[in-house]
Amino acid sequence: MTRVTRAIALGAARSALLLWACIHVVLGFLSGPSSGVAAVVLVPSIVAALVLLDQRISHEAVFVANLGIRPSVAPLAAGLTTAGLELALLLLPL
Amino acid sequence: MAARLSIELVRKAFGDRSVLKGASVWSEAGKVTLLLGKNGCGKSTLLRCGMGLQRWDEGSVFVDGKHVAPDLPSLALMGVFYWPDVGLLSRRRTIGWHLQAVRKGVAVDASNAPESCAEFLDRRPHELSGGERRQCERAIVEEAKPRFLIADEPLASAEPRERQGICDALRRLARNGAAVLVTGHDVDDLLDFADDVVWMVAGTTHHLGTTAEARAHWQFRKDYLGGRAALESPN
Repeated sequence: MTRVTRAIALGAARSALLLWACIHVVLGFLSGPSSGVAAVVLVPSIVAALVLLDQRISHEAVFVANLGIRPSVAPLAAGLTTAGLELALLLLPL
Repeated sequence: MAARLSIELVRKAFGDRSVLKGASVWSEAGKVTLLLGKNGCGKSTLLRCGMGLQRWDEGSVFVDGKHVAPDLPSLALMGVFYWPDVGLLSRRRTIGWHLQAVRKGVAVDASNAPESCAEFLDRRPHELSGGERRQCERAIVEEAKPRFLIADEPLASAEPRERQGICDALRRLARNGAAVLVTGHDVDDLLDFADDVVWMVAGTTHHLGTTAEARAHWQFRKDYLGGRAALESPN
Protein backbone atom coordinates (compact mmCIF):
# COMPACT_ATOMS: atom_id res chain seq x y z
CA MET A 1 0.00 0.00 0.00
CA THR A 2 1.42 3.39 -0.93
CA ARG A 3 1.84 6.26 1.51
CA VAL A 4 -0.98 8.17 -0.13
CA THR A 5 -3.39 5.22 -0.03
CA ARG A 6 -2.50 4.64 3.60
CA ALA A 7 -3.02 8.30 4.43
CA ILE A 8 -6.41 8.32 2.68
CA ALA A 9 -7.44 5.05 4.35
CA LEU A 10 -6.38 6.31 7.77
CA GLY A 11 -8.10 9.65 7.22
CA ALA A 12 -11.32 7.93 6.19
CA ALA A 13 -11.11 5.51 9.12
CA ARG A 14 -10.51 8.35 11.53
CA SER A 15 -13.44 10.38 10.18
CA ALA A 16 -15.72 7.35 10.38
CA LEU A 17 -14.61 6.64 13.92
CA LEU A 18 -15.08 10.24 15.03
CA LEU A 19 -18.58 10.22 13.53
CA TRP A 20 -19.33 6.95 15.29
CA ALA A 21 -17.94 8.38 18.55
CA CYS A 22 -20.14 11.48 18.23
CA ILE A 23 -23.27 9.36 17.63
CA HIS A 24 -22.25 7.12 20.53
CA VAL A 25 -21.84 10.09 22.85
CA VAL A 26 -25.21 11.59 21.84
CA LEU A 27 -26.94 8.23 22.34
CA GLY A 28 -25.10 7.77 25.63
CA PHE A 29 -26.25 11.22 26.70
CA LEU A 30 -29.85 10.36 25.82
CA SER A 31 -29.82 6.96 27.54
CA GLY A 32 -27.98 7.97 30.72
CA PRO A 33 -24.59 7.17 32.25
CA SER A 34 -24.93 3.38 31.86
CA SER A 35 -23.85 3.49 28.20
CA GLY A 36 -20.49 1.93 29.02
CA VAL A 37 -17.48 3.27 30.81
CA ALA A 38 -15.27 1.10 28.57
CA ALA A 39 -16.06 3.41 25.70
CA VAL A 40 -14.51 6.28 27.65
CA VAL A 41 -11.20 4.45 27.39
CA LEU A 42 -11.75 2.61 24.12
CA VAL A 43 -12.88 5.46 21.86
CA PRO A 44 -10.12 7.93 22.74
CA SER A 45 -7.52 5.14 22.56
CA ILE A 46 -8.59 4.20 19.04
CA VAL A 47 -8.75 7.87 18.01
CA ALA A 48 -5.27 8.44 19.46
CA ALA A 49 -3.90 5.33 17.73
CA LEU A 50 -5.30 6.37 14.36
CA VAL A 51 -4.05 9.93 14.72
CA LEU A 52 -0.66 8.58 15.80
CA LEU A 53 -0.45 6.33 12.73
CA ASP A 54 -1.49 9.23 10.54
CA GLN A 55 1.12 11.50 12.14
CA ARG A 56 3.85 8.92 11.58
CA ILE A 57 3.58 9.13 7.86
CA SER A 58 2.87 12.83 7.51
CA HIS A 59 5.47 15.28 6.29
CA GLU A 60 4.32 17.74 8.92
CA ALA A 61 5.19 15.31 11.71
CA VAL A 62 8.78 15.10 10.44
CA PHE A 63 8.97 18.85 9.93
CA VAL A 64 7.80 19.69 13.44
CA ALA A 65 10.07 16.97 14.87
CA ASN A 66 12.93 18.87 13.19
CA LEU A 67 11.94 21.84 15.33
CA GLY A 68 12.17 19.73 18.49
CA ILE A 69 8.40 19.26 18.84
CA ARG A 70 7.19 15.76 19.61
CA PRO A 71 4.42 14.82 17.15
CA SER A 72 2.97 12.34 19.64
CA VAL A 73 1.75 15.33 21.67
CA ALA A 74 -0.95 15.82 19.03
CA PRO A 75 -2.55 12.36 19.29
CA LEU A 76 -2.22 12.42 23.05
CA ALA A 77 -4.02 15.77 23.15
CA ALA A 78 -6.67 14.45 20.76
CA GLY A 79 -7.15 11.35 22.90
CA LEU A 80 -7.37 13.33 26.14
CA THR A 81 -9.79 15.85 24.63
CA THR A 82 -12.06 13.08 23.35
CA ALA A 83 -11.90 11.33 26.72
CA GLY A 84 -12.66 14.58 28.55
CA LEU A 85 -15.61 15.38 26.31
CA GLU A 86 -17.07 11.90 26.61
CA LEU A 87 -16.64 11.82 30.36
CA ALA A 88 -18.26 15.22 30.70
CA LEU A 89 -21.19 14.21 28.53
CA LEU A 90 -21.64 10.90 30.36
CA LEU A 91 -21.58 12.60 33.73
CA LEU A 92 -23.93 15.42 32.75
CA PRO A 93 -27.20 13.47 33.24
CA LEU A 94 -26.11 12.69 36.82
CA MET B 1 35.16 19.09 20.98
CA ALA B 2 34.24 19.28 17.29
CA ALA B 3 30.61 18.41 16.56
CA ARG B 4 30.15 14.82 15.49
CA LEU B 5 27.10 12.68 14.96
CA SER B 6 27.37 8.97 14.37
CA ILE B 7 24.82 6.25 13.75
CA GLU B 8 26.55 2.99 14.58
CA LEU B 9 26.23 -0.74 14.01
CA VAL B 10 22.61 -0.66 12.96
CA ARG B 11 20.82 -3.92 12.29
CA LYS B 12 17.37 -4.02 10.78
CA ALA B 13 15.34 -6.80 9.22
CA PHE B 14 11.98 -6.77 7.50
CA GLY B 15 10.70 -10.24 8.28
CA ASP B 16 13.32 -12.70 7.04
CA ARG B 17 15.06 -10.08 4.90
CA SER B 18 18.01 -8.48 6.66
CA VAL B 19 18.41 -4.92 5.29
CA LEU B 20 21.04 -3.47 7.61
CA LYS B 21 23.82 -5.73 8.89
CA GLY B 22 25.78 -3.58 11.29
CA ALA B 23 25.88 -0.41 9.14
CA SER B 24 27.50 2.78 10.45
CA VAL B 25 27.71 6.34 9.19
CA TRP B 26 28.76 9.67 10.68
CA SER B 27 29.18 13.36 10.04
CA GLU B 28 31.75 15.74 11.44
CA ALA B 29 31.84 19.50 11.89
CA GLY B 30 32.93 21.39 8.80
CA LYS B 31 32.77 18.32 6.57
CA VAL B 32 30.41 16.89 3.99
CA THR B 33 30.15 13.11 4.23
CA LEU B 34 28.60 11.21 1.34
CA LEU B 35 26.70 7.99 1.88
CA LEU B 36 26.53 6.25 -1.49
CA GLY B 37 25.13 2.95 -2.62
CA LYS B 38 22.78 1.28 -5.05
CA ASN B 39 18.99 1.69 -4.80
CA GLY B 40 17.61 -0.57 -2.09
CA CYS B 41 20.94 -1.08 -0.30
CA GLY B 42 19.54 0.50 2.90
CA LYS B 43 20.80 4.11 2.89
CA SER B 44 17.44 5.73 3.66
CA THR B 45 16.55 3.00 6.15
CA LEU B 46 19.82 3.62 8.00
CA LEU B 47 19.12 7.37 8.23
CA ARG B 48 15.48 6.87 9.20
CA CYS B 49 16.50 4.41 11.91
CA GLY B 50 19.11 6.84 13.23
CA MET B 51 16.52 9.63 13.33
CA GLY B 52 14.05 7.40 15.16
CA LEU B 53 11.53 7.43 12.29
CA GLN B 54 11.84 3.69 11.82
CA ARG B 55 12.51 1.05 14.45
CA TRP B 56 15.81 -0.80 14.33
CA ASP B 57 16.63 -4.17 15.80
CA GLU B 58 19.93 -2.93 17.16
CA GLY B 59 22.10 0.17 16.91
CA SER B 60 23.37 3.32 18.62
CA VAL B 61 23.41 7.06 18.01
CA PHE B 62 26.13 9.30 19.41
CA VAL B 63 26.12 13.10 19.38
CA ASP B 64 29.39 14.77 20.39
CA GLY B 65 30.52 11.44 21.87
CA LYS B 66 27.42 11.10 24.04
CA HIS B 67 25.10 8.12 23.59
CA VAL B 68 21.60 9.43 22.80
CA ALA B 69 18.21 7.97 21.92
CA PRO B 70 17.26 7.75 18.24
CA ASP B 71 14.48 10.31 18.52
CA LEU B 72 14.21 13.20 16.06
CA PRO B 73 12.61 15.80 18.41
CA SER B 74 15.38 15.19 20.99
CA LEU B 75 18.07 15.16 18.30
CA ALA B 76 16.65 18.40 16.86
CA LEU B 77 17.22 20.08 20.22
CA MET B 78 20.91 19.12 19.82
CA GLY B 79 21.00 20.82 16.42
CA VAL B 80 20.13 17.91 14.12
CA PHE B 81 17.98 18.63 11.05
CA TYR B 82 16.70 15.78 8.88
CA TRP B 83 15.83 16.48 5.24
CA PRO B 84 13.93 13.38 4.08
CA ASP B 85 13.99 11.98 0.57
CA VAL B 86 10.20 12.20 0.33
CA GLY B 87 10.28 15.96 0.90
CA LEU B 88 10.35 18.26 3.86
CA LEU B 89 7.23 20.35 3.41
CA SER B 90 3.84 19.81 5.00
CA ARG B 91 1.16 19.66 2.35
CA ARG B 92 -1.24 21.68 4.51
CA ARG B 93 1.06 24.63 5.16
CA THR B 94 2.38 27.50 3.11
CA ILE B 95 6.05 28.09 2.39
CA GLY B 96 5.82 31.21 4.57
CA TRP B 97 4.60 29.10 7.51
CA HIS B 98 7.60 26.76 7.17
CA LEU B 99 10.03 29.67 7.07
CA GLN B 100 8.39 31.32 10.05
CA ALA B 101 8.56 28.02 11.97
CA VAL B 102 12.31 27.57 11.42
CA ARG B 103 12.82 31.24 12.32
CA LYS B 104 11.09 30.45 15.61
CA GLY B 105 8.05 32.60 14.98
CA VAL B 106 9.70 35.64 13.39
CA ALA B 107 7.25 36.95 10.78
CA VAL B 108 8.26 36.35 7.17
CA ASP B 109 7.31 38.56 4.25
CA ALA B 110 8.70 39.30 0.80
CA SER B 111 11.13 41.84 2.27
CA ASN B 112 12.94 39.41 4.59
CA ALA B 113 12.38 36.05 2.89
CA PRO B 114 15.23 34.26 1.11
CA GLU B 115 15.32 35.31 -2.53
CA SER B 116 14.87 31.75 -3.80
CA CYS B 117 11.39 31.40 -2.30
CA ALA B 118 10.16 34.98 -1.79
CA GLU B 119 7.60 34.61 -4.59
CA PHE B 120 6.18 31.38 -3.14
CA LEU B 121 5.45 32.49 0.44
CA ASP B 122 1.66 32.16 0.17
CA ARG B 123 1.71 28.90 -1.74
CA ARG B 124 1.37 25.35 -0.49
CA PRO B 125 3.75 22.62 -1.72
CA HIS B 126 1.20 21.07 -4.10
CA GLU B 127 0.93 24.42 -5.86
CA LEU B 128 4.63 24.27 -6.75
CA SER B 129 6.59 22.17 -9.22
CA GLY B 130 9.01 19.52 -7.93
CA GLY B 131 11.97 21.81 -8.66
CA GLU B 132 10.35 24.81 -6.93
CA ARG B 133 9.65 22.67 -3.88
CA ARG B 134 13.32 21.64 -3.72
CA GLN B 135 14.31 25.30 -4.06
CA CYS B 136 12.10 26.22 -1.08
CA GLU B 137 13.31 23.24 0.95
CA ARG B 138 16.89 24.29 0.39
CA ALA B 139 16.10 27.82 1.65
CA ILE B 140 14.28 26.44 4.70
CA VAL B 141 17.17 24.11 5.57
CA GLU B 142 19.62 27.00 5.34
CA GLU B 143 17.36 29.18 7.50
CA ALA B 144 17.28 26.40 10.13
CA LYS B 145 21.08 26.74 10.52
CA PRO B 146 21.57 23.15 11.74
CA ARG B 147 24.69 21.88 13.53
CA PHE B 148 24.10 18.54 11.86
CA LEU B 149 22.29 18.19 8.56
CA ILE B 150 21.16 14.75 7.45
CA ALA B 151 20.02 15.15 3.84
CA ASP B 152 18.56 12.10 2.11
CA GLU B 153 18.80 12.54 -1.68
CA PRO B 154 18.48 16.35 -1.65
CA LEU B 155 19.30 16.58 -5.36
CA ALA B 156 16.47 14.30 -6.49
CA SER B 157 14.14 15.97 -9.03
CA ALA B 158 16.16 19.20 -9.03
CA GLU B 159 17.10 20.78 -12.35
CA PRO B 160 20.85 21.28 -13.04
CA ARG B 161 20.88 24.91 -11.88
CA GLU B 162 19.03 24.09 -8.67
CA ARG B 163 21.30 21.08 -8.09
CA GLN B 164 24.18 23.52 -8.11
CA GLY B 165 22.28 25.76 -5.69
CA ILE B 166 21.73 22.86 -3.30
CA CYS B 167 25.39 21.78 -3.50
CA ASP B 168 26.45 25.37 -2.78
CA ALA B 169 24.09 25.49 0.21
CA LEU B 170 25.48 22.22 1.61
CA ARG B 171 29.00 23.51 1.13
CA ARG B 172 28.13 26.83 2.84
CA LEU B 173 26.65 25.00 5.82
CA ALA B 174 29.78 22.86 6.19
CA ARG B 175 32.02 25.93 5.80
CA ASN B 176 30.08 27.56 8.64
CA GLY B 177 30.86 24.59 10.87
CA ALA B 178 27.91 22.25 10.31
CA ALA B 179 28.39 18.51 9.96
CA VAL B 180 26.66 17.49 6.73
CA LEU B 181 25.69 13.95 5.78
CA VAL B 182 24.26 13.49 2.28
CA THR B 183 22.98 10.59 0.20
CA GLY B 184 22.21 10.59 -3.50
CA HIS B 185 23.12 9.23 -6.89
CA ASP B 186 24.21 12.48 -8.55
CA VAL B 187 27.85 11.55 -8.08
CA ASP B 188 29.15 14.06 -10.62
CA ASP B 189 27.82 16.87 -8.44
CA LEU B 190 28.32 15.29 -5.03
CA LEU B 191 31.84 13.87 -5.40
CA ASP B 192 33.05 17.33 -6.41
CA PHE B 193 32.68 18.85 -2.99
CA ALA B 194 32.43 16.03 -0.43
CA ASP B 195 35.19 15.41 2.11
CA ASP B 196 34.49 11.82 3.01
CA VAL B 197 32.79 8.91 1.26
CA VAL B 198 31.04 5.95 2.83
CA TRP B 199 29.90 3.19 0.47
CA MET B 200 26.98 1.02 1.38
CA VAL B 201 26.74 -2.47 -0.04
CA ALA B 202 24.05 -4.97 0.89
CA GLY B 203 23.41 -3.48 4.33
CA THR B 204 27.03 -2.98 5.30
CA THR B 205 29.12 0.21 5.12
CA HIS B 206 32.70 0.73 3.94
CA HIS B 207 34.64 3.92 4.59
CA LEU B 208 36.41 4.77 1.33
CA GLY B 209 38.12 7.97 2.57
CA THR B 210 38.32 11.16 0.52
CA THR B 211 36.58 11.56 -2.82
CA ALA B 212 39.93 11.04 -4.58
CA GLU B 213 40.40 7.78 -2.68
CA ALA B 214 36.83 6.76 -3.53
CA ARG B 215 37.36 7.46 -7.23
CA ALA B 216 40.52 5.37 -7.07
CA HIS B 217 38.72 2.45 -5.43
CA TRP B 218 38.42 -0.08 -8.23
CA GLN B 219 35.55 -2.11 -6.75
CA PHE B 220 33.56 1.08 -6.04
CA ARG B 221 34.08 2.25 -9.61
CA LYS B 222 33.14 -1.10 -11.07
CA ASP B 223 30.12 -1.89 -8.89
CA TYR B 224 28.70 1.57 -8.24
CA LEU B 225 29.94 4.28 -10.57
CA GLY B 226 29.80 2.04 -13.64
CA GLY B 227 30.07 3.50 -17.16
CA ARG B 228 33.41 4.99 -18.17
CA ALA B 229 34.67 5.09 -14.57
CA ALA B 230 34.40 1.31 -14.35
CA LEU B 231 36.54 0.85 -17.45
CA GLU B 232 39.38 3.05 -16.28
CA SER B 233 42.49 1.27 -15.07
CA PRO B 234 42.69 0.63 -11.31
CA ASN B 235 45.92 2.63 -11.27
